Amino acid sequence: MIATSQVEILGTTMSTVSTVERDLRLILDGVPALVNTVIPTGEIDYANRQLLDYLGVSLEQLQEWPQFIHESDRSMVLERWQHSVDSGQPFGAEYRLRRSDGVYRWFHGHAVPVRARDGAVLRWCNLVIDIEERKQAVEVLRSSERQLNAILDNIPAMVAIHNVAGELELYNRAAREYHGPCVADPKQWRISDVVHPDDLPALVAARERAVETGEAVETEPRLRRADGTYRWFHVRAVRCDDYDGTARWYSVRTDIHDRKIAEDALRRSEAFLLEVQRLSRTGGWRYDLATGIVESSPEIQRVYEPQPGEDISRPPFWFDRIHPEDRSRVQAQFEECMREGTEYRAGYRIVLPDGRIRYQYATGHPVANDTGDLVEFVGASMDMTEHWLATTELERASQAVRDLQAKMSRAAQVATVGELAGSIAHEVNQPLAAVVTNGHACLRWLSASPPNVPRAVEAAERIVKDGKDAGEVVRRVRALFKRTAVEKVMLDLGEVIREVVRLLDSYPARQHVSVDVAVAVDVPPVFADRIQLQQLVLNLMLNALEALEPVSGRVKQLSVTSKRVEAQYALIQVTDNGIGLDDPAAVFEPFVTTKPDGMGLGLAICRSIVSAHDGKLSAERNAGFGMTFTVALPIHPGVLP
Amino acid sequence: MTSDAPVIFVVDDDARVRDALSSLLASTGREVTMFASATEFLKADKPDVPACLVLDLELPDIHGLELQKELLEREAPPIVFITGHGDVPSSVKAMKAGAVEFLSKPFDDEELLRAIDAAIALDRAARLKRSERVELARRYERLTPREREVLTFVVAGFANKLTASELGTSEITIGVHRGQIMRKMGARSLAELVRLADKLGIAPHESA
Repeated sequence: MIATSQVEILGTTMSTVSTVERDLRLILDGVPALVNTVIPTGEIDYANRQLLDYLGVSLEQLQEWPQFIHESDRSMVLERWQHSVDSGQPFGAEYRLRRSDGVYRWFHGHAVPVRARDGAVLRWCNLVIDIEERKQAVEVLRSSERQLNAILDNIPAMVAIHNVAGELELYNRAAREYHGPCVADPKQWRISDVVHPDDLPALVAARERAVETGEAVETEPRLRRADGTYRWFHVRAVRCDDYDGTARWYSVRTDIHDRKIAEDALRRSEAFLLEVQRLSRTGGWRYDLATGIVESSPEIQRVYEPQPGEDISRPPFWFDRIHPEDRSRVQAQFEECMREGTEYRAGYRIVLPDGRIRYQYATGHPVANDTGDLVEFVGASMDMTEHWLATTELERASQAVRDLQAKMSRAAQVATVGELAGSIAHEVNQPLAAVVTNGHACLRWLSASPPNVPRAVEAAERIVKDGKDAGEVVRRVRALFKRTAVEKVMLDLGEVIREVVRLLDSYPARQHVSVDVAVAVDVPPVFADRIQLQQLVLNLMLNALEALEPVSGRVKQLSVTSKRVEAQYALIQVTDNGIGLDDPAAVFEPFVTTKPDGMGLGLAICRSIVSAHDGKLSAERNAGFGMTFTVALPIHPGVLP
Repeated sequence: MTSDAPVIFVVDDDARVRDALSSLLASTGREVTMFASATEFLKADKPDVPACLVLDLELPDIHGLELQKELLEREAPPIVFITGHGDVPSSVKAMKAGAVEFLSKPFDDEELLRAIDAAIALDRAARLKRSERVELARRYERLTPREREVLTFVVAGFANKLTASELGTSEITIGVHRGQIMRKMGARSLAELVRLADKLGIAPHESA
């Protein structure tokens, strides 16, 4: 502050103005500001009442003015004052002054030099105005702005404000940090600089829509990060008419990249699962025991073809689809699994609204809660229709192949039989032809005149020889079917069976066949030829083994049992689960066989053996696979009770 | 044609049948030659007499029908088939290919002998036809080229005068040629000459 005593000087030189001076002083004392004047020596020669009162000092005390300035502002004020004094430039500064009660208030001090005509500074006039209120108001404003900025910057989302022209007005810290240098100069910012080109059209369109409807824009564009990579954001922007009457876009951008990626992955995974369900024809289901609600996957719905009005969230829909013949079984099974909490497995047919039938295989797994109570069943249902059809088709095809094979084999057999018959015929025919021809020759030699007896005898001798030949052929053929030298003894059938089974132990075809021997203890001995009975059992077992040879997919089983029936018969039964025979009755005929390389004599021999023992041999197809051959031999009357 | 006594060839792999046939045919005074296989028969030197082949259908080396086919290309004797099988398709084939008879074993002796005689008769006729043709060809060989030319006119019924004008010679010269042709060919009449020419396959001259 600049003190002044210029008025006094004026007063001494111009006494006429003393009244004016007094008035002036009164005026200055009334000015709502602090006023003083300073002469070039630095002495404050005048201070108005306001100043002295504020500071609570006398003019004399005021000479030590720097002490009233706030410590923090003091050096700055002194420096500037010195500068003004040195340069003659006006002084201006804001600083705090201590009031008489010790309280500092902000003031704005402004001093100008009053110069003589020669330009020399006569005096400095200083006006000091209280700016405490204003200062405080500014401070409040600043602090609220800082607060606002702090809020904006601390929001865990990117906030941006644009004018309607699209120029950026504000980015919060998150946005600045995210976008980096590309928005260093907001005026240079372009929307295309940060939004992924592919997402820009949707964003622009959304904005246009928002302008029309006045609603908020919500888009999910990719925004470019400082490192040039793009991340997915959820952008929500509103257009507001602002405090100053200007429309602005306020937008919040939330980083949803990870969520979006996860969602995409989930969507892909769901699509993948759906695809897998579709491909595997397996649908998923869940049954909540408490609510009775059924949840089902699209695949299972696709198969079951629900119609409008049908409630697929309830069990009846699912059970009603099941074929009437299967329904009660499946329902009972399902209910039992619910009750017992056991694994559910069921194969059944469903009937679709248009009557088509599909084959299903369903499985279910009980799920318990933490306390161990059964709460739901989670399961899968596989559509087996194509599989079933394919299997059936395959089954049919292989049946056709088997039929064909049988026919061919039969045809081959017929051919073989024909061939054999032909060759037997030829074998017999040749000597027969010779016999007849020789006979004619013989007659001719005898009827010649004179009769040529020697030649006739020759011919007759040849007749005898050729006739014997023919007989030999017949004998050989018969030998194929009949054994000679039967020696019947009392035989234990069990022993015969065990001998043959032992004999077959190392037979290649017997390997991988489960042979089961069951000999009943109450079978009395039979009166039979041991060799023939062994041959009988052996033939039957060999037949069974051969019928088992082509079998795959099931355990090959052969069982030989003996037992007594109807008191006077002992039975031998040979059962296999092999390929079986179509016409059991035909197998005992000679030359009938199912074996490609067989002569068809084995069973014919068996039959001749059995009939030689007054027994019966029969064959029948098993309920499942294969055949059972039964030999019934009469028990020797001597051992009958 | 040195002798007219026919011979019967029998091909059968069964010795019993061969022996019986040999005896039967001998008892009727017929000449028989036996062969155990087709190969043996084909290899053998056979007398140039009327003959018949009694052939077993089932031979170990060549099937009877195959042999028949082979023999068709030669001047072989007619065939009587005998078979132990007697299947219809084979008999049909055999007969179509010119077999005289197809007999199933055992066969009746009369039946066989009838077939054999028929076959021999056929062969005799065939042989005669063959020998006639050979003799005719020999006679035709003796004609001069000019006489052969004239022969075509003669068999075409041309008068000597017309033939002479056609060939640019005199009627008398043609008359001389004609006489020579008749003599050389052994024809007693024009009709016989025409028949002989026909047998030789000589085409009559056709007037332009």
